[in-house]
Amino acid sequence: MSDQTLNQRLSAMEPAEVAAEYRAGRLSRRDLGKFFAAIGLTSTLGPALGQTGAAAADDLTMIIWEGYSDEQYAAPFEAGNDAKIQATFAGTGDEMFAAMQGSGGSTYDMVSASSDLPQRLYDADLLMEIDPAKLTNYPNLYPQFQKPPYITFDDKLYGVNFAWGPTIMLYNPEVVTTAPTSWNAMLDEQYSGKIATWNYPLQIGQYALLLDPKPENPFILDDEQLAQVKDILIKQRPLVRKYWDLGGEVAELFMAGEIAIADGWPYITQQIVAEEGSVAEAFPAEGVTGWSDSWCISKNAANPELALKWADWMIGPEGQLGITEVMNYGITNKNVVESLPADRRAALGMTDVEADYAKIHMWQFIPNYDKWVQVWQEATAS
Amino acid sequence: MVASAPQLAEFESHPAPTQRPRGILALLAAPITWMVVFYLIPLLILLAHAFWSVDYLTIDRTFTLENIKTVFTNSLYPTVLIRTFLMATAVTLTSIVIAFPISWFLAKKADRNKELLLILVIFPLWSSYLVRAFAWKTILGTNGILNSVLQWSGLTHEPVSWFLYSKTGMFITFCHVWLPFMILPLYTILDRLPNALLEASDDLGGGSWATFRRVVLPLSLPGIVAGSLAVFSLTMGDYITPSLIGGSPGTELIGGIVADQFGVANNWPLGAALILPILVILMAFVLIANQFGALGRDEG
Repeated sequence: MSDQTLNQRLSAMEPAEVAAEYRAGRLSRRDLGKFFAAIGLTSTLGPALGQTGAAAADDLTMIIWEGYSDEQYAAPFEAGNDAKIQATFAGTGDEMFAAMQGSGGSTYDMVSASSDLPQRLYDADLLMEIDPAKLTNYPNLYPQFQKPPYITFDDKLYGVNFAWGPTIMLYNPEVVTTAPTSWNAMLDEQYSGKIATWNYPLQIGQYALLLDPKPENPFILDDEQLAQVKDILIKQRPLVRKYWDLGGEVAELFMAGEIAIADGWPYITQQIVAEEGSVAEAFPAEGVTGWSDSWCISKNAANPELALKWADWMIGPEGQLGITEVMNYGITNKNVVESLPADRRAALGMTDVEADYAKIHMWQFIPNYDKWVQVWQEATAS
Repeated sequence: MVASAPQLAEFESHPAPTQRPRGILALLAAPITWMVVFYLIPLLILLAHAFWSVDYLTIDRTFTLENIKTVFTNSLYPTVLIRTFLMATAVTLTSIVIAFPISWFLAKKADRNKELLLILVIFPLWSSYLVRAFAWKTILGTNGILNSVLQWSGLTHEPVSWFLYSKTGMFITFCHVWLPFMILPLYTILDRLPNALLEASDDLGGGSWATFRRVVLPLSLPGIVAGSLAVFSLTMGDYITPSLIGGSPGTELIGGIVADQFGVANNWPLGAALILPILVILMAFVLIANQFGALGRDEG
């Protein structure tokens, strides 16, 4: 029976009748769940039916970047696998790491780990090895996403690479009338009090792109280079309106007219456009940093099979198209990329995936990260 | 009318019931076990981290004073600690000034509507703290309610930007969200204050100022101190408001720095070391509060 007819039938019945049907076994608990969800109720009838509030066996728990559990791809997966996704949004990769480590990996089945994170999770012995033979969509990935170094340890695979993109500059064209071409725009005094930047030590890599000479790899910095970036951040300090914490906050700051320029992701552009706000994207000439995200499965996942299915789903056509539409991000499945019209590919920065990907300085594991945190805190918080 | 001696005595002291130590021990066994196992031991383990160090992902349990040294020598931490202390002090003093008249009204003037008014005081506590902090964003923002009103009335011509994402905004938010914690203990103590004492002061020629200064204020001191203890410690440890309403340069409080050591830097030892000065400040406050009888009286 389709969900819709089920819901119509159930809405026509009295609660007592529904309860009777349930007890007689003509309705499954799952049916009721769908019905409750459809009418916006969470198990009001639960007590009447003698249900305990225990979580269902097919809960898939994850700690992810905001947007990676969007209805568009999560709902069909839930329906198809009789599963329920319980997602927690994290503001930084560090937060994901702390959440995973704090519980020994038992609280979350999965993490949407950016390219800087899997090494740490692996070193902390929190990751489960992934057998690519179990992923039906795996052969369709571009070769570069099949076994990239950031999720391959000891020649074994520990993640499923499904999305990537740049951290770009966002600005309000009504205030910033000429399109900025350099990250220096975020240090420009004429935008004083109208600048927001991500509150994350990893952003040091972005500001390292302004150093002269420019480091070959902005994520490998020595103490002297770190000190130079700190000077840049201290110079920027008095101009900053807000060090932002969550992606949703940037959209809010733009919409409320609090800021005119910020670093952010294409997803944020998408959010502002959806609310009919004024926003444009700029790709500074110094280059951009970016991230390549993979689904990693916790070594102590309660539901590893389901987690694997989700990872497979997200590199399949539905998941991949969903990521381009909802998030405005780059994807990793060759077949899906090639099915997109040329203008769409250009808009997503995927005309030539290999070349476009190589242009971005992807986040990576930072050996002296404690120093990065120290520099970031001293520059922004004191 | 003059306060009778028994009335005064009743207000001044609460004679302890005849004690039977063994019975009391049995009664307290469960809560004491709970506090020790789930509060005291975890707290001690946490504090022990202050004397350990972290090497990438593993905790090195060799004794070191390195973290304590960092807390006092790196200019960031003393700066933020002092800023937090000043903020907590300002919020506490302001809360006293705002809460006193409200509590006085509730205790002494409101007769018929007392219960309703008390519920209204507690009412904000029913909503999430996050919601209340968010509400201030819509009020204080560049295009927020406050700026709209100011511009409409002609008092300002351009939106004032320092209401939000500033210490001012944080101060206003703190004063609002913690106010019930000041009103309730003050109300309790003022409600118990016998009217007879006020009338006696009046009969003896004390004006309202003299009565306030020499009768009401000294007797309500335990309530003021109890409320201050709550408001001060809540502000000292908070990191939500600094993130939502602050977040601009120079607004970070020590709670946020500690949270970052645990959640971002993965440096538990430094995080634990940063908690020590906060604990020392709060302990000092508790000891002072005890002197004023805010934590109950122990005279026999």
